Amino acid sequence: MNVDYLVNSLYLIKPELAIASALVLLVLIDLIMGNNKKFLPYVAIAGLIAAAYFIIGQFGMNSLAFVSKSNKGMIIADPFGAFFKGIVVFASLFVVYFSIKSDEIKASFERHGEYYTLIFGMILGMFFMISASDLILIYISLELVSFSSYVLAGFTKTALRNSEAALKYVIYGGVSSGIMLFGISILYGITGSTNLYEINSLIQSSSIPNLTFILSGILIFVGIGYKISAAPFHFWTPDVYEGAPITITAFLSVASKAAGFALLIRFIKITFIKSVDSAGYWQLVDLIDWKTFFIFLSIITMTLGNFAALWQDNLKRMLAYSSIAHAGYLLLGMAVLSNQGMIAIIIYFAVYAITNLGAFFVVMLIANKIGSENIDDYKGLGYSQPFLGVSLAIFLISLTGLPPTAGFIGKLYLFIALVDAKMITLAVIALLNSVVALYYYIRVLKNLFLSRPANGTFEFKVSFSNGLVLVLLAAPIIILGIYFTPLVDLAKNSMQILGF
Amino acid sequence: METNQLLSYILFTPLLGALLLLVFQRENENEIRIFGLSISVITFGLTLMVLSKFDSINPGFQFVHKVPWITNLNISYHVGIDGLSLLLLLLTTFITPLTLLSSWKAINKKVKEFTFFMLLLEVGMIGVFVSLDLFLFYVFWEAMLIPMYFIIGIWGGERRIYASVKFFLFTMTGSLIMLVAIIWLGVSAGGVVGHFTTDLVELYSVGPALAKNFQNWLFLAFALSFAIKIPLFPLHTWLPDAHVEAPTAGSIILAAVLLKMGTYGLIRFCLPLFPEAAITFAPFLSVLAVIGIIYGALVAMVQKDMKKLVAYSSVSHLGFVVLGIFAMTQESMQGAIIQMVNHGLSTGALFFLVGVIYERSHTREISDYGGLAKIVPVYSAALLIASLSSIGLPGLNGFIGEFLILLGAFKSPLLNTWGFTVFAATGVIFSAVYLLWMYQRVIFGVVKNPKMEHLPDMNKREIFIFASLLIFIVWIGVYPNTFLKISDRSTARVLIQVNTPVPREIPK
Amino acid sequence: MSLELFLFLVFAAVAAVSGILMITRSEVVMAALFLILNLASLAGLYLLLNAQFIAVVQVIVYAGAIMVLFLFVIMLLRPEHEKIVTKISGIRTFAFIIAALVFVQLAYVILKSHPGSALNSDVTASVNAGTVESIGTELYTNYILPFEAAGFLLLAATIGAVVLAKRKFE
Repeated sequence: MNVDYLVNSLYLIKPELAIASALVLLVLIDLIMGNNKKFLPYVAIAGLIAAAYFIIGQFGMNSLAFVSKSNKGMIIADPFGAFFKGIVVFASLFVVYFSIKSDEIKASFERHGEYYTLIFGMILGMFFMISASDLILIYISLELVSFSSYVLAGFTKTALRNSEAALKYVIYGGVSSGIMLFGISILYGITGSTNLYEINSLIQSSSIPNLTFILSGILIFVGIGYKISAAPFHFWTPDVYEGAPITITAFLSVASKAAGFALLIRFIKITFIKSVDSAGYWQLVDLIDWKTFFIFLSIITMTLGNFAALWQDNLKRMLAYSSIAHAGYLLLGMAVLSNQGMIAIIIYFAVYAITNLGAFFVVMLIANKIGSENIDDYKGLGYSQPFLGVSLAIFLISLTGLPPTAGFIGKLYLFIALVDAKMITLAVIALLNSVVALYYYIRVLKNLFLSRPANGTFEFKVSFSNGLVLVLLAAPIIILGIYFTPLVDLAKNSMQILGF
Repeated sequence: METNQLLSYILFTPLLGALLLLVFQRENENEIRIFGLSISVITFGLTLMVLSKFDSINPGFQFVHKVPWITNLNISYHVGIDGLSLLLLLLTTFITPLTLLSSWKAINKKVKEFTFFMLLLEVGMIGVFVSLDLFLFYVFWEAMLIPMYFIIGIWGGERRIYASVKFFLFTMTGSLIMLVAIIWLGVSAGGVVGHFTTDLVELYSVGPALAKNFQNWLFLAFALSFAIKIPLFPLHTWLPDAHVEAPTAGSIILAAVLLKMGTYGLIRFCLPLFPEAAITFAPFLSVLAVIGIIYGALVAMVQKDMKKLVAYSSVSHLGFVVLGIFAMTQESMQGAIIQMVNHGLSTGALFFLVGVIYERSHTREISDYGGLAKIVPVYSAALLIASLSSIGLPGLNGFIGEFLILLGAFKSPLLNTWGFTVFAATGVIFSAVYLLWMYQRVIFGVVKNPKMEHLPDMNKREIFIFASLLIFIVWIGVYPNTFLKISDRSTARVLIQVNTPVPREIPK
Repeated sequence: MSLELFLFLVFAAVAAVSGILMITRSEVVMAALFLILNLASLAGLYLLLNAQFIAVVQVIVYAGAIMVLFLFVIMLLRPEHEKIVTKISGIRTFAFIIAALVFVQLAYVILKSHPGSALNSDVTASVNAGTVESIGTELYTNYILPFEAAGFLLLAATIGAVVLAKRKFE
């Protein structure tokens, strides 16, 4: 037994090690310090910064870790994974900051140790999800993310809707991960391997039962679809997003989705690809018609998300439906099955992450003060709190995808990918969806700026640090909307998946 | 000052002004107004400088300024003007200070925000007229919606929220379809020039080379977006709502400039980019235009609300412009261009005058008025001139445009029937009916409402605004050549672009 | 009929019947006992597949530890006879039809795919290697990373359980 490969492999998973050590540290510090919980967020931030540092290093890597004689490798270190881990760390940093400021979280002060530990459990799970190349690791990481998020969704103990959210989340999560596991077992049964690269070379070289393969592919997709809240696996999303503490909602809507999409792209690209042609289109193994599958899925997802969002009065719930719709747009990028589509997804995701974090942050700051997330309670906010109002307006306009915000750039690249693949009809359906989305986003804008404020509702000050964080989130949206070359370059670089 | 950067100065002066405005205290309303006004006057001054250096013999784009922007997609900051855009640029920068002046008293809440949005709107409008890159054009085209949404929504009338949302949704739908078309065109450019591009000058060689059915789809996508903006019958339903609910300044800008973006787009993009499709659809669109002329006039006739009447008259007048464009003769096209300017001046003046009286009496119902001639003589005279100019009385501006359009449409080999001319001409008669009838009911007769008896007449500020418009109303009416000359060569170039067959480079 | 097939049929039948009985009992303790029977017969199936280790784990962990916990909780809480909803409402019929359809579909697909014709011949090898030793070797060499990840999963689950247990509604 040679242990060198283990040691070498450890160098390749430094970000994961950093998060895992921080997790253990958080548990220990919580035990030692007792009731002094002030340090916990700073430990968390330190751990995240360390992870971020290692992630930057991974942009230059392209290798498999934990390779042995009988296994082609468990986990991949490549720019693609680095990008999505970067998104997760970025979101986590903000979420930790939000948690310090959130009144909801402050209320359950005595359990901060568990709170941050579970957040780190999620981060670790997401990291594995993003870079795993083995179905077993994929499944375990998915469960790690799910278990932590179940508890976090029901974390604030006072609210009844919290418990309801958590329970729904557990039931849906349990069923879908069970289905996914079943799919994995079938895939293992017909190929005899759990390694994605190995499965790829096996299905290319030999004929296997088509029907069973489709079955296993779709069953596995159920688990992933649940994580990215694609219709029809989205039912948990509105309830959980509405019921969970805002910090966790923001985290789920950005980080969890990022990990889900990274897993989806990796799973499809590594497992099914035959070759990539010169124009960047993927030639897939002729077993499952993923293209049609994704086309239908994206149409259903975005239409359902957008139309359901029209009737929502709770801003958190509306953002939940809008995040379903955004998952639909992102699936458009999958439907193209090309490198261009992948670049579009990466750009869209970077923008979406910033925008959504910002939107939830504003919702949280307002909920801290007025204790409500109802859209009608936002009337006149733009006048009493111009700073918050304008920031929220920028976030919403970016989510709509209007220039000159970064959201437009995301849509632009998606449309370019679609048109280049001659999928004009799909592009038109997507843009009609944007019109629907516009309607519910401007409903918020309308309340912010066009309605008269009720007296004395919004008499509070935004602290300097909150203002600074808000600017940190809002400024890139405008800047990237006007000059987006750096973002595109980053996306082009991050598109590299090991092996292809 | 570098000549080729002049357009950028024009473009960024209002933007800079808007940003500087943010440092003002919101209590200093008068300083804000004066600052906003001076910024827009400076912009107008810069535009006059462009006019003085403009070479009307040159049919191509002038004052071109091109800076690479997004190199990945070959998008550049590319601005330039020809005669057509110069006229509309002049109109824009001329009308903006007047609208700011017109709202001096009418807007008395949130003056800072109002001035800020007006300046942003001006950036958008100028940007649309000077962009030579479709991406840049699209950014301005969309970005303009946001200030307009707020102008209608915050300072508008009773149903302002409904109107602003409707306006936003209608135009947004159109422009998103255009976005897909722009991308499609940009992607197709790969087959002709070898790379994705949104540069208009490059695309002028791409569009005509596309297969016929591609051209048709792309033409329809662009035309739909522009038709909503114009608005062409039957896509006009947002217009009356937006006009009626918008504050006076918003209505003036909307009528004078925003609607022109649609017709400008048709000439600048639809015709030269997709000549074959344009020729195919010309009769069809001309029919819609003529229906719009008659329908708008008939509906205007039965309106009880003065502002709504003027709004529907816009539908009718813009119909003339569209007819002029798709008749595709030198006369009709020139007529269409001059008619765009005319409509900006006359309808702008009408909206302004409706606003003036509304400020005093707080009603727009025609039936509430009567006998104003004795109470406010100056106002009555002004309204008469504006109405006559809109009707198209010889000697005033409206006549020139409509005459050229009708003449061109009559001669047009493309339309090939005098039917269009005859039906369109009835529009002129109808417009005389509805405007003069309104005039009669408002100005003559007995004073019905005792409250009206003490209305003050137009003050100096208002007279100044009207006089500025009047100068051009008469100037174009008496000596249109000053203006026709500017756009003459550019029009000829567009017509050449439409009529030159281009060898196909993309089979399918 | 070989002995293996006979045993398979017996275990499978017991598993299926006890599963159905479990979810139809109104007495909680009875349901728990049928669950034990179900888990035990699954262990038998594992044995038939040469997965000795998993079979033993199944008996010790599921049929043993977890079930004891279940019964313990039941005894402590002393739940009244839970009302079983006997009325077959529309939605239940619908759910039943869907479930039946999914079952038929899955069964069809799996039967069609010629069980035992895996692409990778290692499958049989790995089944033969269902001993404690080989599983241990695999876990601590090739699958060390998932193993560690599972460790974190358990940690997270434990902490989660603590959080949930400590919660009180004010």
